Amino acid sequence: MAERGGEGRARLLALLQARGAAVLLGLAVLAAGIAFPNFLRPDNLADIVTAASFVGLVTIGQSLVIILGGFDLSVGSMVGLATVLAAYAAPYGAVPALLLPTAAGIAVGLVNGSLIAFGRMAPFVVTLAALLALRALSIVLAGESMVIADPELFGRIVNGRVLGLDNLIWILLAGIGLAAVLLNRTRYGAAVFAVGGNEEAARMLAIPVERIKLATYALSGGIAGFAGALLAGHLSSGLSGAGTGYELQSIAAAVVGGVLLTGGVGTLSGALCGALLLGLIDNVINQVGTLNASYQGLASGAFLLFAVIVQSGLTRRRQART
Amino acid sequence: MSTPVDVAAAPRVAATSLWGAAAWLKARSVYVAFALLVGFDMLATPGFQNPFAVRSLLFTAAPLILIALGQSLAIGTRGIDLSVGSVMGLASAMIGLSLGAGAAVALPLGVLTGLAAGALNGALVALLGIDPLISGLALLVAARGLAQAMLGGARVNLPPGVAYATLGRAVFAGLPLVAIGALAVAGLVGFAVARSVWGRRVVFVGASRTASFLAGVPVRRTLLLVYGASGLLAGLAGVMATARLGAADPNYIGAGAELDAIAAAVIGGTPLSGGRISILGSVFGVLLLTVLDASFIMNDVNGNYAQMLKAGFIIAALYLQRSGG
Repeated sequence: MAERGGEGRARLLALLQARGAAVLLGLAVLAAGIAFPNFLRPDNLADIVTAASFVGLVTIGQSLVIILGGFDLSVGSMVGLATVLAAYAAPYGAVPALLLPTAAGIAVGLVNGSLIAFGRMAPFVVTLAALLALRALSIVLAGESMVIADPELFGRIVNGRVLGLDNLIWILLAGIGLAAVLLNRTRYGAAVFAVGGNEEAARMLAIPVERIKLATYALSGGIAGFAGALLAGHLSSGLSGAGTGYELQSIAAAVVGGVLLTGGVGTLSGALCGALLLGLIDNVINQVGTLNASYQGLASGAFLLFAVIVQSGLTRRRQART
Repeated sequence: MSTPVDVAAAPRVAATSLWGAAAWLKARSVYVAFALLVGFDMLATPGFQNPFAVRSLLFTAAPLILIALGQSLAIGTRGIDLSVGSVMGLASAMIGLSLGAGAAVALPLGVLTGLAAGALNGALVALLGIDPLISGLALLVAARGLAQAMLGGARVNLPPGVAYATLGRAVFAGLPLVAIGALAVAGLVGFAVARSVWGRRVVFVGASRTASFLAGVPVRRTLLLVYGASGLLAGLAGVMATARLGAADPNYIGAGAELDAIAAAVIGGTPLSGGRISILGSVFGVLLLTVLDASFIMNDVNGNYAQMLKAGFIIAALYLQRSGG
């Protein structure tokens, strides 16, 4: 009896770790709905998801990198650079405006990944340097901002709606779905979990660890580039400062969503819930009105801290039980 | 296993063979690079010979030296302190908030704010067992956000006052007072690392946490003290930078300084794999990066290009140092 009770509690803890973000998101929506009468209106809810879609997309790549046992601090600056590149490419049509930033993101990811996988350098040092370099490059290319004069098709793709939902929401859902299939149904995904769980063991299983790392950082960079292209279409401009802080928000979202920073564990649906939760906090801060934007940094930092403490507590308790 | 704690005690290699010479040079690359860069600037950079240029450079370097010291301790334990830049900003914001109470209150309060942030970081790392990378990252965001929230995101100018002027502008024997102070602190930390039991423990924990735990080293207390010290030094650095700027600025003070501190420590011979600390190397690492910044500025290199070049330089330097230094 006692044994079964213990097992049940262990399972509850595991469930809480994996699905805590979803529970928290539900509670937060409920609480905000009670506190702010306008909160539960469908257009406000859609606004939250749309606003969170950029961080949400970046969180996909970030989650893959974290599950791999790494970090990508360069994604925020990559988003900024991508908006600028999209602004450069937009006059040539929607396809270049979407593809050029994505390709640039992949290239940046390949450089990061090479230094980390083959150069054996610490991920945070490499990507922190990339964070600074890419931001500077964006400013060199665009100054403060570049307006996309006539977005046409590009703007319609990004800002349009299908079946009553913003395209950005569809893109986010499709991205999460594709990445979930990639992570859970392919050999590549299994290898990501294996490398993140135990790199030496993965090597002994003849998993090409370096190539997996390279591919994952490239994916993270490419997704950040794509998200930046969408953001440029959304804002009709390239902003060299766009995406500032996305690196931390995406890490926070992933961690809140149950992706373990030690690598090897995590779900994309959880990470999505984490991103939405952060978006919801931003929205609530805006609804309160008296709080200014600087509280958003404080909120996401405090939230990350809180999530990490709870995560480590849950992990330790589970380990103590098994 | 020996635990060399500064460059003087770095593995002595006979410089007879070419390989030995290369290794000898690599262990001292920060000094060589510094000498080369200064030599280049002396010859080619207009205005570098001017003592005022050197003075201004040392004013910039002083707070960086302080955070590089804390960073070296953290890295020596095989950890990291990513929060130092934001904690500088937080200390600055605290000064801005408490200006009304006078410098005698505001300045110590700034330092204490750093200590509090460091203690929190240390508690997360040492007591809750959270990866220092993560706790530092969370503090990096939270402390910067808190600093901005405290001052509403705006810069607050310091009132005229002896204390601010002394920290921000005073010069003794041609050297900024803050630089002398920072070097004195560096000497103190260097002495503690090389000679004190605590310093031995710091290096020992970094070399092998399990072994040091089994050997009876109070690992948690050691780590708590390391991150507390790093926060304290970051608070002091924030006070210095604020006085130099003449304003409390929650956005500008310490922004991006964590990368400089990490790079300075690692370039100076404190490897990220822990177990070795070179305080002298860290000081020269800071001087190297500061002179590099100044070289870009004085040669009229666009600040954004300079930032890209510097990021490239740091990556290259860390790449060359990566196998133990």
